[in-house]
Amino acid sequence: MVLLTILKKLKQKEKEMRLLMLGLDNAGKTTILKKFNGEDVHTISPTLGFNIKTLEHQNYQLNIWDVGGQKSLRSYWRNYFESTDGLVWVVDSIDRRRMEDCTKELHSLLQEERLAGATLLVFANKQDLPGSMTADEIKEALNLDSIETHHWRIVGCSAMNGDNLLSGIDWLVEDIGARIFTLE
Amino acid sequence: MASSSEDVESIDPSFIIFDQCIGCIEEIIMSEEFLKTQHHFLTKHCTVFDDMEENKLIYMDIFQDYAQLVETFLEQKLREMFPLFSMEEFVKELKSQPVQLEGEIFDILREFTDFLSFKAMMLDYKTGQNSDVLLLSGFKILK
Repeated sequence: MVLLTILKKLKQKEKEMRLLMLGLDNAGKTTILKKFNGEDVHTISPTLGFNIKTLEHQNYQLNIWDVGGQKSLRSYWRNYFESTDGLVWVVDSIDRRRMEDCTKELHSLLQEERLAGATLLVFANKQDLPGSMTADEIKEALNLDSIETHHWRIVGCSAMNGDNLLSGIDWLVEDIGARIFTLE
Repeated sequence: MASSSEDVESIDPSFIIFDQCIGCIEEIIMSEEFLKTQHHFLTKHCTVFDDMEENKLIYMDIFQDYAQLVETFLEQKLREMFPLFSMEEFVKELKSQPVQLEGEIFDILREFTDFLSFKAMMLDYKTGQNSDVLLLSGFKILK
């Protein structure tokens, strides 16, 4: 699909960004998406498919894709890589037991050719819950300092009360904007 | 755009073919044969779609098949019209002519890459009953 893929990429000149939000199940991806979009976040059930929101932010149109994170769904993630400008990796900061799984999944995504140009934002979610790991602890656990292939940043946040969602997305949008739109 | 005759002489012939192809894409997309192909595809798959916020994973497979169908159809027709047509060359030309991408035809082609438009079109198909109306409604989305 050469033609349509190229046309889609050329479309980026119109100040659009495509963000792909991934992470293990129950990390809070859909909650982040809805909270950021100003929707109710109290009745969210596990995502079995995917959600898309299109919203205006900092004069960009953000197309945010949120794909379910259950183990059986992860093989479908690859269907969503194309034309991704920013990868948002969401971590459940109290799920210490699965931090190793989380690290493995993230690093395998970073090997993907079609995500090679994407900026990485790691959301250390659920900071409002007692016993959660700090953003620094998660940075260590996920071995983020070893990443040399992508621009990255980790931000501790709470999807439930909205803390730091904006500052994380702001950084992501600025980083992508500086990479993609400065040639104009 | 080649507007005056002295411009035409200095223009690369591959560009002229490129320009002609662009003109033909519109013709192809508007042709009855394309509409029939599109109609067949949409009718076959629309029942899978539900008007829910969360999308099923299979929508993406169908969407990708659809884009592939459109592109294959276009390529085949362009090759019939221009035996020397190569998608690879065409895309190369496309990349080097960003100014040319402003036309309505590119908006139509870009629609084919837009998942949400695709989903809306599928839902239109599913709820519609009369096939004539369906063809028109499919088209409305493309405009």
